[in-house]
Amino acid sequence: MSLNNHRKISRLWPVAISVLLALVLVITVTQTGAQNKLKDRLAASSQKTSGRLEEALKARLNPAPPTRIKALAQPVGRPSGPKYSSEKILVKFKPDLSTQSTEQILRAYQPQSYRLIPRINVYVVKVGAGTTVEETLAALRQNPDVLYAGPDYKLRLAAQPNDQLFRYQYALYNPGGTLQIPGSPTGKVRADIKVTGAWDFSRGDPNLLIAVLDSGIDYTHPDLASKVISTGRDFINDDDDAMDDHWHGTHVAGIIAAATNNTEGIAGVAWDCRLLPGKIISAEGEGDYSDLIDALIWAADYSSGQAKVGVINMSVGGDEPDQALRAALEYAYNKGIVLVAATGNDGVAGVLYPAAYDEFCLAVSASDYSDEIASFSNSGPQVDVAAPGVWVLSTIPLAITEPGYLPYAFASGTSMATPHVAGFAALLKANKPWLTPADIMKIIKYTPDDIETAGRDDYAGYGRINTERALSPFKIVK
Amino acid sequence: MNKRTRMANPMALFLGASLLLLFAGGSALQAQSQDQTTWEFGLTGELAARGIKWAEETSTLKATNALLELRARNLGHIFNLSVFAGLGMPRPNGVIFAQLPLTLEYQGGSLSGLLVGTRVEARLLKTSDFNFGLAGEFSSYLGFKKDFALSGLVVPGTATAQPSWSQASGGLLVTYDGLEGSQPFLEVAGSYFWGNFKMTEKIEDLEGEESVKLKGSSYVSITAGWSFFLVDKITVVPRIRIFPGSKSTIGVGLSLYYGF
Repeated sequence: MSLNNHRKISRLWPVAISVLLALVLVITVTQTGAQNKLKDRLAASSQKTSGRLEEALKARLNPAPPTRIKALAQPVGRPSGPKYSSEKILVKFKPDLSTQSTEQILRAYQPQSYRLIPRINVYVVKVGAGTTVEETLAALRQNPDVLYAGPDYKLRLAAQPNDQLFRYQYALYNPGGTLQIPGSPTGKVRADIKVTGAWDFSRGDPNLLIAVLDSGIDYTHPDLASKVISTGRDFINDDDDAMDDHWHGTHVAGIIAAATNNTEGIAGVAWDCRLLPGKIISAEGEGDYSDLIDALIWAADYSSGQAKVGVINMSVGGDEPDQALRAALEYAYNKGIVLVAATGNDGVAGVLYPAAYDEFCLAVSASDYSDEIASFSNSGPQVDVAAPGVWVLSTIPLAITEPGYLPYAFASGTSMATPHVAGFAALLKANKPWLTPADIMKIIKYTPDDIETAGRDDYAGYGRINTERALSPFKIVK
Repeated sequence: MNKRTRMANPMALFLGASLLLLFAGGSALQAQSQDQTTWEFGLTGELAARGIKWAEETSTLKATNALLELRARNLGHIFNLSVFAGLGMPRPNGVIFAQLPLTLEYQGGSLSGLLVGTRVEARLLKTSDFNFGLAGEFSSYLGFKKDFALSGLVVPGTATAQPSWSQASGGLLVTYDGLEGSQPFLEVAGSYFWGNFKMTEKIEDLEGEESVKLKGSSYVSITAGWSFFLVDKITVVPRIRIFPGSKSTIGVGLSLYYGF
């Protein structure tokens, strides 16, 4: 090697060392700078702790049940009465027959009256005087033109109401520790639906309506007045005033979409959505399948300006399957509506209908403040998810609120669990309107917190819903 | 003055300066080095050297690459021409797929893929020991599909990621020939980036696919480097690159060339 070359190389060493040092420094800086900032997703709790409510609650140190609420506390389980209507039946004829022909056939059975439920072509027939439902059905089933003839089964509420008042909506945010609900049980931290975190991503949409097919809604309630789009439809009394003369529907409605961030009352799950009341349960807490079927079709077809029904809540159920009910569910489902229903409150194996129609309905069981499945919650292979349904605080009609008390009460039941899921479905649909009901049902089923036994089970389904997991970006990590 | 006009002016200035260099450099080209064309085979390692910003500068695609390069120097006494190919490992962290049934945010780090490209350098003007010229580069990356398990769900879920992108850059190149055995250089380049990040989601029977367009705004990079002609036929080129005005970090690269 020449002297010149040697000098050249020796001059390069300091430069090369400097470059290497600089490289090491740069690599270190690069790696540190590359750390992605995790977004602080600790959402501020929007849990309502209304001063007035708290004062009222504190004043009730000895919370004797208000007499006008006590009546609601009758046990709700399997009804002791008839399973189906003693007057009405549901009939569907073969599709190749004209309306003129089908009505001619019907008249041959001398009914008191009949009416057609459009879209699914099912007749609600009031059987003739001097004959029974059973006799008429037997005769109709012999007729080769009749595709289906069945009784009009009874609906019942899936609730275990209670009139005691508590401080927190643990269902939305469970702080754990001693909860100020009846019995002062110890709650499990965050045994809730995690909705405070989900509200960072969706709070609903005023044009997304949630139909509450129930006992009606008290649309004058201060926490609901701004949330109800219309006075709805009363299928019991056949008018356009679905005022709640029971209590159940108002309680369900408050859980779904009570006015929130309004400094009073409670928070609703999908608090930017609006409610559409459909009254299918009487003041006595009873209803028929035919009214539910009618209401499903009505809600599915309802629109007001830009507003359309996106979710239907059915905190009701009956023991029997029914083809007409199934057809009505399918009709609503095919119109892009997510259907949510209660599994029932009998504490037995066997999911009520419509919840048991698994292909169209999300079946919701009830969990409690410790993520245990409530003893009253029905079980079965159709159970999809669980949601808090024990001592849930919500709105009650002003008409049954005792003087001096606020129009809120606690109640238990799969009826109270179901609206949490209906609100959840509305949050998802508002966030991603292009998703189909099937997609939304799957998201709700696949994102819960697994409770009970590992994996899906017949009590909690896939688990207790976790709204935040479904709505917040799911991080893909190594 | 609207935004388009404001953007057009620097571009016009840039083109004007380039044309001036071309014309002014015409006579100077005759005085260029009469070196013969040489062919070199190169190995290049880059760390975050292709900073690409997108989504309104909220994130940066930091690419780490290992490349093989074939370079022709002094082609027609003016050009250096090279083609390169190798393993690209961009890290497109922060891209959010909000159209999928379950929104996904990519935080999975580097994704391997094939990076290919070509680079042209033209010496246009020589004054004293300085050479002024232009440099242009085009590169494309096609990521290999990579599966990620979506943990934390009650059913099995998988996300499959596959990004791809292209980048074009061009700018001014200044080299200094006054040193014996080495040649420092400085490059100021403008760059544009476009790409596509495809994500497929499968959670039990829930499926979705979304392609997020990665469209970066133009940005400027400044590269400083030094070619060391160590021994005959072997050249080492360390370089450092910064991206003024962007949040990206500093990138570095090191190339080793062997002449044949």
